[in-house]
Amino acid sequence: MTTAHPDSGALLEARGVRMDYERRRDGQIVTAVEGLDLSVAEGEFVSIVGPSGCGKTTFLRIVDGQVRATGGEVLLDGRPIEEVRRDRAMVFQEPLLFPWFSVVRNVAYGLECQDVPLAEAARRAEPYIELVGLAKFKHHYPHELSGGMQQRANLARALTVNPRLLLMDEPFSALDAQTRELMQRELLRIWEEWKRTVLFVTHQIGEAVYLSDRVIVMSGAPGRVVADITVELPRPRPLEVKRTPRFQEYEDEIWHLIERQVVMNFEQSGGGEEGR
Amino acid sequence: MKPIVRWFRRHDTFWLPVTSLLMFLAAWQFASTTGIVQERFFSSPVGVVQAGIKTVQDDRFWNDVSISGSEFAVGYAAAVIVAIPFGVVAALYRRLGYAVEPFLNGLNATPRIALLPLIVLWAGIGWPATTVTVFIGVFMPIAINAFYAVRTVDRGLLTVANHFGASQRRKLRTLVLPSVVPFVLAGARLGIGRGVLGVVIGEFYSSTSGLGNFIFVAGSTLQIDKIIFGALFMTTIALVAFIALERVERRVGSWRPDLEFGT
Amino acid sequence: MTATAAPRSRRLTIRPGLERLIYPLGLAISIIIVWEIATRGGLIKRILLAPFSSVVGSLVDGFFIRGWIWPHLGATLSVWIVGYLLAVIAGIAVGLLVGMSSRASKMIQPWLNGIYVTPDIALVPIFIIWFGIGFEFKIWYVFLAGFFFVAVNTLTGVKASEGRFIRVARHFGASRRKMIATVVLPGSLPYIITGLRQAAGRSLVGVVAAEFVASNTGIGFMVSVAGQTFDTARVMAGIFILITAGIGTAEILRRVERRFDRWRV
Repeated sequence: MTTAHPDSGALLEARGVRMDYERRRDGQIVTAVEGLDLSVAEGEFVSIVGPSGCGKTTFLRIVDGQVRATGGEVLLDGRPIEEVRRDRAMVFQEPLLFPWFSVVRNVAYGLECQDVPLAEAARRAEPYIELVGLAKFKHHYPHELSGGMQQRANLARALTVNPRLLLMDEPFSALDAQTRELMQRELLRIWEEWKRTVLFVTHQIGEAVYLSDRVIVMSGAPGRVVADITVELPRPRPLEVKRTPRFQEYEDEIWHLIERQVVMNFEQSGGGEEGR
Repeated sequence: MKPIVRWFRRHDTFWLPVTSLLMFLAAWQFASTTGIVQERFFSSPVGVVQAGIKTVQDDRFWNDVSISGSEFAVGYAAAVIVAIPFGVVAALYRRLGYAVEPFLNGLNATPRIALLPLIVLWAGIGWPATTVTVFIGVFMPIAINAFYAVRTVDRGLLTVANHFGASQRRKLRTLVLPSVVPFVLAGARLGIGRGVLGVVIGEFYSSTSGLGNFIFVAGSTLQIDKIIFGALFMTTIALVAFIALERVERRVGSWRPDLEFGT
Repeated sequence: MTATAAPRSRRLTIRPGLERLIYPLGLAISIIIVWEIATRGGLIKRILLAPFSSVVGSLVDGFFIRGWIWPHLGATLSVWIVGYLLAVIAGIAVGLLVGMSSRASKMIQPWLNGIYVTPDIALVPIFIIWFGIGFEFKIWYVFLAGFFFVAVNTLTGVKASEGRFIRVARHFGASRRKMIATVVLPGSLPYIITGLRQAAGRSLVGVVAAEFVASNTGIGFMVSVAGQTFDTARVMAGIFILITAGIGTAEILRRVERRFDRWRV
């Protein structure tokens, strides 16, 4: 199932990415990511899964340009990521909607930052608000929305800048289980309509399998790619897919790949959640 | 980077404020020495230090200090002793709490020094009036913090305690006290500033001795350097007490979210 | 807005609105009755405590019959408002400027915290020497009393606003100007309002203190003179006015503050 990816034609290409940082507590150099190779083709939906602390969020931040890798290179459309200004947009883990702006203004925020006049930005945000199903709530304020709706607005905000690469950082992790499932289905619907490239980070294996064309399995620490699994489930995928044997085989396979790591983490941390 | 530069950078939260203070003092001294500002009206760091040296050798100054100190100590202690039980009791009894709450908040928002003429009538001019002024200033933040601290004792934890059948006394010791103490300490910390303010205004208004009076007399004889020295002297002592209480507070209530009532 | 207090206690759900009104009102009325009886009956000397009715009488006389309160009220209000507004404008400006420069805020922040302990009233004599007794010295002293509270809170707000939302703005490539307009300013607004509230109280204290110490007009002066001439009813009338002004302003600003609570980040 592991496939070799083509050298050319990839939208995102990471080669030997390495990330060291100085731990504030004792000044020691820690390696978060090491020798990471990854390639994402145009229009692909790729997920990265891995245990807590495997460096998947770090990698996402590198791709976003928030931090610079200490080794290797990350190319977007063949050019180093630092040179590319506005081809990516992030859907944050928390909704991070400005409490002082209405939904429209929040969704239009990316355009606003590109100095698009407010009225036009709002007009261009409109279709995306509709796409995520918030048309009725566009003049509401974030606190008037449920968690799932806030996350939809967060998604619409990223879509509105029309990025070639959409980065999603565990966007559904704060939602309850049912809402989470529905949001996954929504995301697929939107993606099928919008047809762009998505790099999705999660620690929930089922979520990764359900959404993706390919699932990148990482192990920590330092984070490395241990497997690259192509999910050959037919699309469109209804939620029922999750109960098919094929789906569960994928889940099992990935689980076995990271099980040892997860259990080790769990025992080291005394069973706590990752503290980020 | 040279090690010394790096060391400086790492401790810049200490060095930058020190630098800004030194710069301010240097500019002030420079302006006075060169006559950009008249020393008679603005004094100078050296002038203040000289005035300070002269002042601390004067027994009358230490007499003033002891008077102000006793006003502060008595007023402050009395406020602590009265305000804590007051706040706690008012919060424990629901109806009493309802009755008292608007008055607490109202009085806290009031320029309580307006009561001074009345206090002078009641307590008598000088030491008693000033002590009562200190008392009133300190009382409010402590009482309010004690009141709301008891009110905001975590209901969830109370449910847990009840569920495990904790006795009233155990609940008081293991739940109410640990939640209340940090807030009361914060109130006591705010109270220091209010108390010092009370000393100065009380003595300005009604006294012929004490540090407030020392400053007032220096003012009417145009001795700017002495005024500044007096103000600095009081601020320093208040600051030391403030920081000490802050330390205690941090030790006792490191779990506490950053909440502040009053002011 | 009793709703904000409701989740604090389950017990509050029983007729909270009514009880919150009845008990304080009852307490106030009983205090007034006892006060009136004790003073009229001679239990407490009238020099120490004027009967409630004579305080009311003094207020009515001062406001509506002979009108002697008006000039004092005008003097106090004008000093308060001018000094306060100056403090607000300068405090917000300084707070924003210092807060947005990380070096400047490190230089100044620890000193600004001195406001909680510095007896600024001790500087009144200096202000008198600089500006002479009168309108001007009071304005500047009131300005000083309020300024630091606005500045410190604004600074705190700017620092707080630099949290999570700056990440979003940075991600979408917001310019510095855009960041200030969309993140820093709205994010610090609730803190600024807290500063406005604290400063309003402190500057009113400042006005009264200045009027006590050196003035020939204003409510503080009026109260002070009345105290020296043992006109306790007038003293208490003045105190009543000041208390009303203090509580009224604080309450209005507290409401505004609550409205913006959601903006705290």
